Amino acid sequence: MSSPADPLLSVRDLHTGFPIRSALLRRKVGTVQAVSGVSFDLPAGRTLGLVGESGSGKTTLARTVIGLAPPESGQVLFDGRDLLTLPGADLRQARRQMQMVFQDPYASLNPRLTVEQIISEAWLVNPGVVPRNRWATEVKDLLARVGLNPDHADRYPHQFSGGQRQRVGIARALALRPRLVICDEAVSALDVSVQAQVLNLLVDLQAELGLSFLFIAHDLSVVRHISDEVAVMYLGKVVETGTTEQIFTAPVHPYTQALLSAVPVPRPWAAPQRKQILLTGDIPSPVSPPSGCRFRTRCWKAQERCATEEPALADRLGGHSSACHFPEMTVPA
Amino acid sequence: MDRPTEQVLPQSAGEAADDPIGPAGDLPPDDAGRPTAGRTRGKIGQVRIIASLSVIALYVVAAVVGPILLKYDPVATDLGSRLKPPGTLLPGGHTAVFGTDQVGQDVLAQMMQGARVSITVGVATLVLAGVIGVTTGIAAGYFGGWLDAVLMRLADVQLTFPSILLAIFVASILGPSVGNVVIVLAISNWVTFARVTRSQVLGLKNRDFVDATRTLGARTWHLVTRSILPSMMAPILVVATVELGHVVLAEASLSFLGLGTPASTPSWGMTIANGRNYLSNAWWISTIPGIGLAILVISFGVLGDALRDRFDPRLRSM
Amino acid sequence: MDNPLLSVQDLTVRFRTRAGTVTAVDQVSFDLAEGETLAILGETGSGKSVTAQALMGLVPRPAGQVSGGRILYDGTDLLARPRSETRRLNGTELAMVFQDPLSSLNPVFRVGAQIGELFRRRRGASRSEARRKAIELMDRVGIPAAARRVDDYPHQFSGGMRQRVMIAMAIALQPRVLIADEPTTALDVTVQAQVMALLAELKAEHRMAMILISHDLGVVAGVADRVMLMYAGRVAETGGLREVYETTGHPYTRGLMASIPALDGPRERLAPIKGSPPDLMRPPAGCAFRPRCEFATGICGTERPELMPVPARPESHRAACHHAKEVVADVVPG
Repeated sequence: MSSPADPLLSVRDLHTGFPIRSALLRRKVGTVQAVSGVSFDLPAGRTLGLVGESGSGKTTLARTVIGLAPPESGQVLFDGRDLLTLPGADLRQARRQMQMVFQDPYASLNPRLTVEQIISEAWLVNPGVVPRNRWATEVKDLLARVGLNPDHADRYPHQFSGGQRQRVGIARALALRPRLVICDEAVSALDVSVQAQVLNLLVDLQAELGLSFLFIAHDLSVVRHISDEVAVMYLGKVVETGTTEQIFTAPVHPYTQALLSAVPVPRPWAAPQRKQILLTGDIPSPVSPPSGCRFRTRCWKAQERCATEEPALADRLGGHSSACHFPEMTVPA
Repeated sequence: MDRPTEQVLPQSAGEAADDPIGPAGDLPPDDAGRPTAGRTRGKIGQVRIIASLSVIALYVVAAVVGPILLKYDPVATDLGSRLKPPGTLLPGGHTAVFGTDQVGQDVLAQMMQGARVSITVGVATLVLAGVIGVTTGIAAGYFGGWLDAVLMRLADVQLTFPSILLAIFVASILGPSVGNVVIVLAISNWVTFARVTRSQVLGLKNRDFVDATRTLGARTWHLVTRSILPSMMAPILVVATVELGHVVLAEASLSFLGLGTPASTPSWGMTIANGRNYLSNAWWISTIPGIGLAILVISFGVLGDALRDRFDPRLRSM
Repeated sequence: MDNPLLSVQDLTVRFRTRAGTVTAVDQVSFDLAEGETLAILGETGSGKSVTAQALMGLVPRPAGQVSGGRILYDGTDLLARPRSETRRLNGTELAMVFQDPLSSLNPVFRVGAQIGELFRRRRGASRSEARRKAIELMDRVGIPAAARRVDDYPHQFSGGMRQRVMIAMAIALQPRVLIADEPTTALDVTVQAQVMALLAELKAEHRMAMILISHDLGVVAGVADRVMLMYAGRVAETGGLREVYETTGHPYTRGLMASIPALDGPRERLAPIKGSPPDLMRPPAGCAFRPRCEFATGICGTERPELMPVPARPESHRAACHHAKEVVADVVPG
C-alpha cells in the first residue's frame, strides 16, 4: 500500500491516437494524435482539474486512463502498478478501484433498467464485492448518500430530472467503493443551480470517503472551485500545470492566460484590471499539429524558435511547470 | 439499389430531442413538455395493431382448432363431389363453404390444414433465421474489423443468390420436406436480421450507458446480453413481424412450384397450384386460398409497420 | 419607454403534451428600444427560447400555440398578421441566430450560396452581385480568406466559423432586431469570446437592437444593457444589468449568482438553490419559486406575485417577489 505522499495515479508520457482509414480499402492513412505525451500525478485524496477546449484531448485522456481507449504508448500507474502491462485478474482488481462519472446524464444511464438495477450492475459483474442479499440495502444507502430518496430505487431514469440522474451516475460510480473517480464534464450538462448542488455533493463525498478526483471540465470557474491542482491541455499536450492558486493567479503560459481572460464573469465592472485576450482562429486539427510549439499558430508571442523547437514542460517561472519558450507573469495590455 | 438497413439507426426516440421547452437539462421528470402532435396518429396505430393482430389470431385459431373439427385426409378422394362450387351441400352431410377441389376434397378443410403448415414453417424459419442473423450481426457489429468484413460480404453474396435456385438445389439433394423448407427459407432470410442487428450494435456499442457498464468491469458477454441486446429487441421484433409475412408467402411459392412441402402435408401453395388447371371452371380452388394467403401476409405487413411506428418512428425507411 | 421598437405584451405560449397542457411562456411583457440589447436569462424550461421562437413566428405547431398577448413591432401586432407576412419581416426587420449552427445551415449548399440566396430572393440581386455581397459579409464577420471559403460547404467550417456564417446571414439584410438564442453555448470559451466581441461590434456599427438569450449570467454581462430573468415561464426580474446583478430583487436571481463558482477570491462552499425547477404541468400555487425559496412566507403560497418596482430604481428595475425589499436588503447570501 502506498503512503500518502505517493501519487495514487501517475500518468507517464501517454500517447493515444485513432487511426484514420481510407474509405475504400480501410487502410490506415494517418493518425489523429488525441493525446501525445501527457504526464501528471494525482495524489490520493486530492483533485486534479484537467482543463482544455474541445480538441485538447482531455476526454480521450480520461478514456485511456479508465480503459475505454487503448493507448499507443506510455504508462498509467495506479497505486504504483502499470495498468497497461498488468495481467488480466490483477487488472480487473485495479480497475474496480477506478470509476467514472459521465457527462450526459441522459445517455449514461440504461433507459431499460431501474435505478436499483443500474447501481447493482456493478456488483453483478464483480461478484464478491457485495453479497446479493445486501444489494437492496446497499442501493438505498448509496441513494441516500448522493441525496436521492432511497424509496425511488425502483424508478427508471426517465422519471428523474437531469440533476437527479447525475446523482444516480455518481451513486453507480461509488458502488464499487473506488479510490479514484474520473469526472468527465460531469456537471457541464446541468443548469447552473443544479450544477452547484452536484459540485457540493462531490466535495462532501471526497471528504467523507477520501476519494481522489480527476476532474475534467471546460469551465474554468468550476475547475478552480473543486481542484487542488490543475493541468491545462492544448492539442493533446499539457501546456501548464501547478496548484490551483498558481494557475489562476499567476499563469505564465500564453494559452492559459488567454483561456482565463476569456471566461465570462458576471460582474466585469468589479474587476476593471481584467483584460480580455482575443485569440485568433481555431484550435488546429490534431491530424497534422503545428511543428514545435502547438500553440504558436494562435500565439501573439510566437517567434521562429517556436516553430522549430518544442518547449518542454518544466519549471520556468512562478514555481510551477509550463511549456513556453517565453513565459511571462503579466498579460500584455 | 436501395440498402436502407445499412444506415445506423438512431436510438430510442424521445429524451431530450423532442422537448419543446429547451435543450436537455433539469426539466421536470416524466413526460412534461413532450409534444403530442402524433396523438391521433397514435390512435390509428393502436387500431392497426389490434386489427392486424385479430386477423392473425383468427388464422392461428383456425390452424389449431380447424383440422380437429373438419377432418382432412390428404389421400382420400371423392370423385362424386369434385369441383363443387362454394356453398354446396355434400353427400357426407356438411356444406363445403369454400367448395371442393378436383378430387372432391373440401377446400376449407385443406386451407385450415395448410395454415398449420404455413404458420409452423413461418415461425420455425424466423426463429432459425433470427438466431443466425442476430448472432452474425452482433459478431460483425461488435467486433468489427476483418470479421465484420467477412460476415457482411457473405451476406451480400447471400442476397445476390436467388432463393428459388437455392431451394431447387436443396430439394433436389435432400428431397422435399418441411424441415428442408425451413432450412432453405432461413438461409435466404437471415441477412435482414444480420443487417439490422449490426447497425443497431454499431449505434449502441459505444453509447455512454454501455461504456459506463464497461467501466464497471463488465465483460463482452455481459455487455452484449445485458446492455446491447435488450436495447435492440424492438427493432428486431419489427423486422421479424415483417419477415413472417414474407416467409409465409415464400413457403407458398416453393410449394406452388413443387419444391416445398411433400404432398402428404398440403400447404396453401400446393392447393393453389393444384387448382390452377381448373381456373376456368372451378375458380375457387386457387382463388380462395390465394385470398386467404394475401390477407395473412398483408396483416403481418400492417402489424410490422404499426409496431415500427410505435417503437421507433425513425425506422420508417426500412 | 416612450416609443419602443419592439413591445411584447402578455405573451403566452402553450404546448399540448400527452400528459396535459404546459404553459411554457406565461404573460411575458417587455420592451426593446432601438439599438438596445436585452438579455433574456433562465435555465432549461424557463421559457426563454420559446419566447424567441414566438417573436420569430417559429413556435412548433401544432403542439405549441401562442395563446395570448401581442407582439408590437413598430406599432403593428405581428401576431395578428398572417404567417406569410411574418416570414417577409424575418431577415429584413427581425433576424435570428441559433444555438447550433450546423443544423441551421443546409449541408448540401455552399456557404456563399446560402448567404447570397438572401440577396437574390429578397433584394433581387444578380448571381455575381450576391456572391460579392456574400464575400463582403463573410469578411465582415471575421472569416479569414473569405473569397476562397465562399465556395466551401458548412461541414468544412469549425463551430466558431459556422456561427460566424450564421451571424453573416442574420445581418445580411440589415435587420433592426437581432435575436440570438444561446449563440455561444456550443462553442469553446476562447471562441465564445470572439463571437461575443463580434456581436458587440456589429451592434454598435449598425445600431441594431439585440435580444440575447442565454443561461449564462456571465456571457451577457459584457454586452447587455438590460436583463430579464425568467423562471417557469414567467418574468422573475427585469432591469438594468448592474441593477439586477448588484441590487438583486428576486431570490431566484440571487440563488443563481450564488451558484456560480467565482474565478477569483477565496474558494467558498457554493450556496445553490435547493430542489429543482417545478413541473410546468403542475405548477405550484402562488409563486412558482416558493418551494425552493428561503424567503417564502404564507402569502407566497396563495398569491402569485406580479412584477413590482424594486426600491432603489423603481422606474426601471422590477421583480416578481413579495419579499423583494428583504432580498435587496440582504444581498450577501448566508
